[in-house]
Amino acid sequence: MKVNAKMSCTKQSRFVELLETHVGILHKVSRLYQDQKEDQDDLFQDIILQLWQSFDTFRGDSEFSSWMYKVSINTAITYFKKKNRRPDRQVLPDTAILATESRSSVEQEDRMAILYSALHKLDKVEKALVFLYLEGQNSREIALALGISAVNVRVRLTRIKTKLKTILKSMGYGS
Amino acid sequence: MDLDDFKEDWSKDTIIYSRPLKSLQPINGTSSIVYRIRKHIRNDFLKMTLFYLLLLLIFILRSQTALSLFLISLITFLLLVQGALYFWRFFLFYKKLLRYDLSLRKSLRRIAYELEINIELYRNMVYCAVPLTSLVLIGLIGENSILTFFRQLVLFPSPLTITGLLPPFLWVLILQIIIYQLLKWHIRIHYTRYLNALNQILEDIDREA
Repeated sequence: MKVNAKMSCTKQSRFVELLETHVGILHKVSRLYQDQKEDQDDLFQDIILQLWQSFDTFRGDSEFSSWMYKVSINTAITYFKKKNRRPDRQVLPDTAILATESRSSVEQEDRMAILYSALHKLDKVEKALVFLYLEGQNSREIALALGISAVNVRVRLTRIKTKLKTILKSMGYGS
Repeated sequence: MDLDDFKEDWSKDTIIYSRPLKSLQPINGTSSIVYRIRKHIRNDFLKMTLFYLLLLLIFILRSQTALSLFLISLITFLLLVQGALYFWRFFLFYKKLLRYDLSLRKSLRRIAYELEINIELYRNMVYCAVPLTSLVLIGLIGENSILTFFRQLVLFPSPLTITGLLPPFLWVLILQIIIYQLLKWHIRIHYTRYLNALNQILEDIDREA
């Protein structure tokens, strides 16, 4: 019993530690897939919950961030906006929700706001592609995360870039 | 301006995450497709079990003859077992879905495939249960009812004639059609629409580049 409790505690602290290092991914995914702050917070929590429940499947043979990309995107894509907000009985590690404080400058934040506004006009799969691309993943890694071919990734990315350019132009950021 | 112009801003968009906040207990209700389906299935199971248990209880308290008590209790018990078997199948399905670390396409395919099978199973289960449940209800209301209508439904006119049997048969048929339509609506709202949403995403993934 004591051994189990100790193992559970170790698992929890390891999870929180890894989460703290990579939690920026969650912030970005939530902001990418939801436009309202309240929905972003809910999705943020949902992804943490899913990461915690799937944590046993992380064996350490790949980067934690790569594993986190998959779980986060899979969760965000199958996420529905809430109609009514009620408390849930689901329990997570006590420290698994974290304060977020942006370090970005005002100018940078403005540019990010423009980018997110444009990205919200893409469909869910396009968002996933752009997200992984901006995170610095190469075509092969993106292909692995999404389950499509690397060639397909490259072609789609080219199309999405053109589409985004048009969107940004229509928003008044043409040059 | 294009996507590559934002790459630098994106990488610099860092967040400081050091301070642990309050406990996560309770957190807001979760909203992923899988959790929603699970919630609906759980609620359906609870409602169904309560409904049949209530029927059994009423029968035990009200039944006038041992034969009717035996027959209707048996049917209700069978319905309960049938429901429990389905929900056990669904529980296994849900356990399998807890893996979110597969590739997006693989993960969604698996959920959509399993969900489709489970919706069909659920549809078959409820469609099979409806006629039996209707019989139980008619028996329950009709056996002790002082209303002529229900007594006529249970105690067929004597001697048996086609014209005499037609009204109760028509009533049962109308009742079935109404219940089937309600169930169809229930399945669409609580299950099929999520499957459609998943299939739509899969179509987007599979779209030829």
